[in-house]
Formats: sequence, structure tokens, C-alpha cells
Amino acid sequence: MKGDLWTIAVVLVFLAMMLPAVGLGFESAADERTIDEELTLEHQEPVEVSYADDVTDDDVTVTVDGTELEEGTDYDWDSGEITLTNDEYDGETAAVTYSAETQSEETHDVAQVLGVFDGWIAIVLLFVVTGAIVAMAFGGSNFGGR
Amino acid sequence: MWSGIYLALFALAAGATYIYVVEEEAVVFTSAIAAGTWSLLAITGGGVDVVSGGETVTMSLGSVQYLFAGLSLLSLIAFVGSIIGWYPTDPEIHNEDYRV
Repeated sequence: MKGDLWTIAVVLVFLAMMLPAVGLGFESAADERTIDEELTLEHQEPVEVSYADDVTDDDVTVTVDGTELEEGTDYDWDSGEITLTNDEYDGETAAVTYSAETQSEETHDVAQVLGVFDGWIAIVLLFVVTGAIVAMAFGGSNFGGR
Repeated sequence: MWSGIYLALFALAAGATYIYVVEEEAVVFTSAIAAGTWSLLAITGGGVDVVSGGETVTMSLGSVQYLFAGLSLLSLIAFVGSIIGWYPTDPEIHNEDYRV
């Protein structure tokens, strides 16, 4: 039983260390990407793009029905926020293209699945510890081996 | 992450998975190693740096990341199961294996 406890302790320490490692891996997976998204513009109402915090430069393209809008005339762009100044396009859906340093869509999906943000892996670990205690109390476990 | 490190992690994850699935040895330890490394591979798969012709190119594995995430969850389930005693299940005993 002593060896079993050691195995579980070592494994739990390993998993506890892996959680921040996965978090760091998520941060390091960020890369400069071109983001295309659609937004509904409202006159004089700032609208934030999805990756507003990760915008890397002020190069943005806003298109409504194939017509490219002009920055300064039709809209203002302020680090991820678009404010429509030309009321002609009020309520229109615009295609916005900009650069942001962020993770790929797949990485965001995978991070959500693995619970990097939700922290539910901590609940799983708690479940494991409880399971280990129950198994040790009532037997029937095969710690560390078959 | 550099492709060399990524491949080394892949080998570790695949090896650990093989040991706990096929060999069914040290299941607690190897399934935990597999769960950790598969999740790291799934997360970092969106930015793998490959040196090609003297230039560093960042590649994304795309949908393969979902596969790695699935393997990670599978390994996590095996880990929990091995702690509780549900996995691996008892092997079937065939009489012909014990003929004298």
C-alpha cells in the first residue's frame, strides 16, 4: 500500500505541474494572425472586435456590401473599437479584417474542451483523490500496476 | 514550440499510451503521463515552429489538435478508472492457456 500511495502522490504532483504548463503552452501558441469577422455597425456607437485586446497594428479593412469604408470619413478605429461616423451605414453588417496576436480557433476550442479556462480539471483531480481514498479503504484498486 | 520538442513530446505521449493500453503496465503512471502530454500537444499544436530552408515557419496542426484533445480526455478517464479500479478490466482466462 505504501508504494501505491507514493505512486498516487507522484502522479498528482505531476498533474498539478502539468496544469500551469498547459496554460503556458496556450499563451505561447499565440501568433500574428489575420482575423476576418462580421460586425453590425451602429452610428456613433463603438463596437468592439472579438480580439480587441490582441490587436497588433492599426491596419484595418471595413467593407459593407463590397464597398470599402474609409477610416476617418466613414468610421474611426481605436485599438479594436470601430465607431461608425457615417450614418449611411447605420445597422449594416460589415466585414472587418485586422491583425491580432492570438491563438488559432482550434487552439481556443481545445482549450475550452480541456478546461484550461473553466478549471474543471481541478474537480476531476478532487474526484481522483476521493476515489483513491475510497479504493484504499475498501480495496479493489490496482494502483501503479495491473 | 519548436518542432523537435513537439515530436519528442509526441513520442512520449504515444509511448505512454501504448504502455497503458496494450501492455497494461503501470496504468496510473502512464495514463497520467499520456493525459498531460496529449493535452500539452493539443494546446501547443496551433503554433509549431518548423525550420525550413533557414527560415522559421509557424505551422498549425488544425483539426489534429481535436484528436490530441480527445486522446488526452481518454487518458484522463483511464487514469481516474485505474485509481478507482475500473480499468484495466480483469483479463479473460481461457482454459487452453493453462493446459499442462
